[in-house]
Amino acid sequence: MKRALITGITGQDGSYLAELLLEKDYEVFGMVRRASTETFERIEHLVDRVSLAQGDLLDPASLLAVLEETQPQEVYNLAAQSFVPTSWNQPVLTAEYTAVGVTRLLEAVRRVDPQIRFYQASSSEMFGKVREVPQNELTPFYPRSPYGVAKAYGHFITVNYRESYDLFAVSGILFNHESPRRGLEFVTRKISDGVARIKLGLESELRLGDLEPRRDWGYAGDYVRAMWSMLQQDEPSDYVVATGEAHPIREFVDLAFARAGLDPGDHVRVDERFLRPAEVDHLVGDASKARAELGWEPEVTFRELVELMVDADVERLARSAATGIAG
Amino acid sequence: MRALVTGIGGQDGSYLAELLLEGGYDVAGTVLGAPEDYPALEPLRDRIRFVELDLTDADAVAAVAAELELDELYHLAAVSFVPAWWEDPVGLTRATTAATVSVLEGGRRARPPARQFHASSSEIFAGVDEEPQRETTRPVPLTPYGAAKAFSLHAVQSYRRQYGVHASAGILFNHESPRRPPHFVTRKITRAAAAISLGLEDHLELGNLDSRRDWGFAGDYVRAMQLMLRADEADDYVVATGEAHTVRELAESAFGAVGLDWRDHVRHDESLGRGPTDAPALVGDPARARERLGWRPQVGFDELVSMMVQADLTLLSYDPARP
Repeated sequence: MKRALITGITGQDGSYLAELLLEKDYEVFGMVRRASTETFERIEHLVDRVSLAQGDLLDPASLLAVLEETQPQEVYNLAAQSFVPTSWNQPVLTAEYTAVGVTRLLEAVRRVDPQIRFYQASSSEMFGKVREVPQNELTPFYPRSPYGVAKAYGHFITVNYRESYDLFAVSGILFNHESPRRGLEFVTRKISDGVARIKLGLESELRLGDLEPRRDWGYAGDYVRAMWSMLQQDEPSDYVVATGEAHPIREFVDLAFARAGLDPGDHVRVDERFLRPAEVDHLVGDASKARAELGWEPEVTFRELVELMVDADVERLARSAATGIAG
Repeated sequence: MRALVTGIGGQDGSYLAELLLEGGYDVAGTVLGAPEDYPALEPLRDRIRFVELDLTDADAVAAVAAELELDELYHLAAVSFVPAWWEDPVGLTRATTAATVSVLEGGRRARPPARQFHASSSEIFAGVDEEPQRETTRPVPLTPYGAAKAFSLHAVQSYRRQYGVHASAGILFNHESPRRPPHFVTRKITRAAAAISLGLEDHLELGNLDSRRDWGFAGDYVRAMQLMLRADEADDYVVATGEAHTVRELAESAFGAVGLDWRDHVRHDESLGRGPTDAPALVGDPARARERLGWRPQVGFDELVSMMVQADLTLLSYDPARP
């Protein structure tokens, strides 16, 4: 039985990846922080099937201990401070965790077992103010936030360790990927949740920032398949994972309201306070390398993604309304 | 004008301190350890205000910037000897990234905000095939040092766009001087050439002789830093001579300066090289700095090498017992 360790297992991607690996008969370990403030909601349905190990990307000794204890063949580093606006309020902590944390984990892997295959979750935020459209594995990074800066560092150091120590270490450059498990601070989930609340009469309006930025949005469940696949190749390499289609936020809004049988014109208010500084423009990924070498294809379309998110939020809120627990 | 130079005891810090003092600046600086640990500062020590500052604490940076009423902040402090980074990648990355972000954040919060210079490095281009490298070249670092210096460049860019701060990054290609520590290859060669010519040593072992580097004079490069802060708009600049020379040519020039043939004294030892992480060629295109800042290097390659050899001759000939 193969063993895998996932950092950030309580996050959206961690929970989908854990499910995928369990289906593939892996023994799955999740690294969680001591005195953690993180919620285990997303892996509640898996708690009996995954083992949690205490470790912290800020603490090198804990990383050595976790690797020695769990003896994984594969490590997926998904933990990060991933909310961009927070990275402006906490730039030093973002660097500590999201940048230096990668070096700490790579060092621990190298020392404990250099045969471990290592996946680093990189992000399209690294492209920032894009120099070319679409973006592929060779597009220069021009990150616009401390989060993007830290992620670019994580990518570089992963490639460094591959080249210098011959580790099987890869960087997956994932474009936006969403799901019903996305945090409510992200715009897609804010929309699906807001639409569901309006549909159920819990709210009457949805306040949003700029609706024009376009994003390449895929389904998180599809993206974790690409992560796994990268670690099954003969040679380590870096891959862009994206749908290749960009849609404006407005389109997400329109489809979400339509799914609920509502008119966005009646409910959406554009609120200046939510305008995100240094908005990243025209991110759209070219995943042809992943398609060709990994045989990876996204299965969920944009429309299906919006609809499954709205449906899930309607169901969740209806259930909690029925049981009298405010959602 | 008032300026703070982090890492003022280093090669670049000491040249920059001289330049700023000559220009009538009030100069403050930070050093690791004590000012007395840095011989290059000896003649300047009384004219520099040394401050204790935790560079990874943005609040402390902002407080010092406000207290000193800084106009300019030059962030040079870093461990720049690349092999050291493989010994402690986590500690050095941590110190470098946290300091970069804290200086950017602290400098931005100071009122009035200080103009900032941050030192990036040509090591961000170690894995790049195109030559020469310019500001628009895609970084491909091959070492933790290079990755951290790419972080610095990107962090400066993101702060500039986000807050409109006057922060510039210098992508500095190799720059040398008699103040280079002897474990750097340039100084290792010039010191050995001097020592061999004085009969103190008889040979020198070197790793990769074919590495090509764009070597300039540190005294020229600190002028570029100052020009960046004087420009109306902040930007990122490659600072380089545009000329590449091999390590072999450097040895030839250094030994030639003392009338020796390098081939009689240099032995090749592959184990001294940096292996696959050693960039084959780092050559910068300084066109942007030349056109927008009016910057030109004044010291050429042979002049630089000969200056370093002469300094090493003086140093090695000095006999404290002699009156």
